[in-house]
Amino acid sequence: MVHWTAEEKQLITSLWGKVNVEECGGEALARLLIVYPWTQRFFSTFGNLSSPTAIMGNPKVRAHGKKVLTSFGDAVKNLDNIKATYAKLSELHCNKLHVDPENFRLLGDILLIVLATRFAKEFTPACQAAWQKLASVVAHALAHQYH
Amino acid sequence: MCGRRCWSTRRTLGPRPWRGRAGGRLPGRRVQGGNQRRHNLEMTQLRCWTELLGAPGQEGAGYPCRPARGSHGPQVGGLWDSLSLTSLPRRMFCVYPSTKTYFPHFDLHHDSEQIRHHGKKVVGALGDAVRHLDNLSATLSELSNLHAYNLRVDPVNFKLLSHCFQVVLGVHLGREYTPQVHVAYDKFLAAVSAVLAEKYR
Repeated sequence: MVHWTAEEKQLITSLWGKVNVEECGGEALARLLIVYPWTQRFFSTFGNLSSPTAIMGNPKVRAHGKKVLTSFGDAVKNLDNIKATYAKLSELHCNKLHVDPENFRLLGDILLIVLATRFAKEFTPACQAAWQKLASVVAHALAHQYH
Repeated sequence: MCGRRCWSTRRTLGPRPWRGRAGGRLPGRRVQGGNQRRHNLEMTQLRCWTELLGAPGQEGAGYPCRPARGSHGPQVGGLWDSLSLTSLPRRMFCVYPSTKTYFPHFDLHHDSEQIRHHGKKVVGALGDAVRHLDNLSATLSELSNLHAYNLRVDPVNFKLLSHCFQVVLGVHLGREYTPQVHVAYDKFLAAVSAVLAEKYR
């Protein structure tokens, strides 16, 4: 079980309360597909991904980004039990979706950059450290059921 | 008929060059593919944004300009210097404490002069790299030797520093750190990391 200090919990939950899940989620997934184009391999049914403009305006990308970040919120609400929270999703990503766990780390890093652009000075080093820890714990939990 | 458009400038492009049987190259003529055009655009954006950020020590440079403490004018060196002087090393040490192991001889307190000085050196080297994008190996050759034979920093730390650098850019540029600028910097930092590690073995 991951140990969270009171300060880390406060930094995570207070920032999460201000996050626009649809916008941030959509932008994070779009950036993943733009900055690391090989990740598009998992989204062949999403339509036009031929350019950054197309990706940023793609409604399926936006919707799926919202879904992904909503799921990330489950981790924020269950900080003391993230591994169990993501057990089924981990199996899904391994057995059905066949996603390389490295992609979870990439998306986590991209999410932090999106948060930095949205929250600027509020995204202090201490805040980034707490969120970096959360992103790596989520990535680890999603990879936990892989075999 | 639907014309081709450049994906970033939205400018209408000419007809696609005839490929013929050669599978892509007309005899005696080089045809620029989509990847080359994208690469050129990314490098242009990198140079453009780095000029806007201002090179270290460049007077009057920098966007957005922020007044230095105790002064009333634009900060000398602008955003580039503010990146180096305070936020980057401090953020890296805070987020990735393992990176401190390479600095046992440093005073690692908040805003120590050693951290500020070292940050300036690191960002100065990155500024040199941006000015010589087409010749990174030669530009960073001495630094590459230093990291390979003296410092022997584990290359994974270059990724950690690169990530913190991008977070700092995001903090300072906000929405202007668009996906296009983001990918240009990500590629650039990955290329610099590769050059720094190329003599390791």
